[in-house]
Amino acid sequence: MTSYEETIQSVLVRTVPLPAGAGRDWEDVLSRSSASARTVRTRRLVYSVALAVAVAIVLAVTPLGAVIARGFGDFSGWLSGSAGSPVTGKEKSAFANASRRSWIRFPKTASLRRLIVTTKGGVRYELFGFRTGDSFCLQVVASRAATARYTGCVPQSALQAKRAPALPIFVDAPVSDRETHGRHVDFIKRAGVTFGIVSDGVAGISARTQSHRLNGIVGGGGFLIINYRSAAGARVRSITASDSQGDVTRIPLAHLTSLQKSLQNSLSDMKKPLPFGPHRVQRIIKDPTIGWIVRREPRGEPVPSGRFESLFWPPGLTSFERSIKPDPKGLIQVLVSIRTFRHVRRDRTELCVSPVVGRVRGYSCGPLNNPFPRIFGRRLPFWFMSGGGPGGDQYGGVVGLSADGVARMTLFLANGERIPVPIRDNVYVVQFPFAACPAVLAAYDRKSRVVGFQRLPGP
Amino acid sequence: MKKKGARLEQIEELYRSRYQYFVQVARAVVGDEAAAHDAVQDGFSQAIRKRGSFRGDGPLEAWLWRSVVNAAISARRRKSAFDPFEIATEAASDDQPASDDEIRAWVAALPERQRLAVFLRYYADLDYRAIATALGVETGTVSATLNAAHAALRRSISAPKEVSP
Repeated sequence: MTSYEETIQSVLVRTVPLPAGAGRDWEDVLSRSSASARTVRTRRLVYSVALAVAVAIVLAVTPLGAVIARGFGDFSGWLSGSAGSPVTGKEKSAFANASRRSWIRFPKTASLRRLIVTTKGGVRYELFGFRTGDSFCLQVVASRAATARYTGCVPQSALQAKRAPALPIFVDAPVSDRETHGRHVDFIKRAGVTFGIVSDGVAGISARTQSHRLNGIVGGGGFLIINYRSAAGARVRSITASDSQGDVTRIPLAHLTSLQKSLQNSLSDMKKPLPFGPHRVQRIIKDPTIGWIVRREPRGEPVPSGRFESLFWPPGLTSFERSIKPDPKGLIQVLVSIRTFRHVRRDRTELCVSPVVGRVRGYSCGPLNNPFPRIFGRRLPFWFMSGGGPGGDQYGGVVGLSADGVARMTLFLANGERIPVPIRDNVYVVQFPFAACPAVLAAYDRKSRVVGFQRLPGP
Repeated sequence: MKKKGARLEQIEELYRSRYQYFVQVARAVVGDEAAAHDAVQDGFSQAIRKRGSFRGDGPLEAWLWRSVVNAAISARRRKSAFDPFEIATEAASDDQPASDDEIRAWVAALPERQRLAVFLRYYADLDYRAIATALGVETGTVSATLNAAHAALRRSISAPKEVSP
């Protein structure tokens, strides 16, 4: 190997850290291998099942508001800031320091609450809660025999919607033990943690795997389920919450099999209409564009040079960059930039959007002079990019740009909910629970005419 | 005569010992870790289904790499149908020297096959023959692909730096 090759190798090994091996799941590989063999012959059948599931979700979840009102109470503990117990000042600064490198920094002014502390199998688990803006965040910290730290947030609207008495944020997130073999570090999954927010009236919570029942801990407005059997591939498949009267409610959970996942992500399925949301475009926006970006008007906030530079931005020149926060109290900020890439699209000027939650979470670019994509022959007056949400593995985020002439947007969920989408300066962002997917994003003009709609890819 | 087919335990052993490398190389194709994990899972599940077709005339690992690379490319194609040009990213760490960042960004900007060849050679530590199997090309093509990647990287390294206004 030449010294030049050694440089390349050294840079790659040094700067591209190996991902945590905790995602390793041989049982999942085995189940996919048997599922994929059946995919072709059962595809049509499964689509029918998926539709039935969607309908079942609508039927099962819609009345939950009433269930909550009856026995489970609401989330007033969270909304009033009294969930859990306050931590000491010393603990708070230790927590803030530990969270400094996290994607969501703990706000200095926020009140940190300890919800649950427990020790099992030599591992200490602590569940913390805090509020930042209009988001309610949980962080689980596992320490001693195995370690993990997961943070996830849900918007206030999720608590107000009262979809269910419990809002899971992460399901079976791995808690791993680190093993070093020479220069390689392996992360061996020791347990899985499932945690989230519960309404005031929830007295108990439990989960089921394929063969076992796991009793969770409820406390301070949160819940925590520790799954020691997850290392053997026994994943949490369902969660139920019970109130003090013994009434039990099943909690909607996004836990799609690979078969459903591929189904939801396939192009042909994105084409198929859903039984909710609009079905017809009432007005076409011709040559959709965004005037202020084309004119390079200084809207939103300036972006300090290099503040959000990412390793994966291909080399090029940034000629315009602004930061927009469509929901001022939300966690997601969106960078809008005009870039000319040198290699990937040679000297082509592109309009790019990047969601930022503490750090750049990805980007999506299209030609500046024609940024709105044509999907299935229709030019949409909006452009979407999924991912980048702060809501653990149960909440998704969609960010994007809408054309001039789009006055408002709405996200239609399979559970019958309609989420108004915050838009500012043609930039929008919305969070939603994966368990309520599939979803349709619709855009309207000032006269409330439908100018475009699109089924979103599944989780 | 060589015995045809791969044993499930051999595949599992390679999955367990090399999982992280598979994910990282898949990530070079699909852009983000979650999608890369998915591609590795799909790649291995395909390999299990087709393990009877492994002829044993090369290393099993190279044959598995091919399955994972194919799964990653398929995932990338599905993804790019919706996102004209999208890559999930990691923020730059504050203490990394700029030159490392640049080299990494240039590697990320290489055409897909060159990028894969670079990752398979210098990251997964495969030899040319194994890379050829993984990419489904001749060994000579691997050499040409890596040469082209080196030339592009050398050009980038020697080019004057651009500065954002």
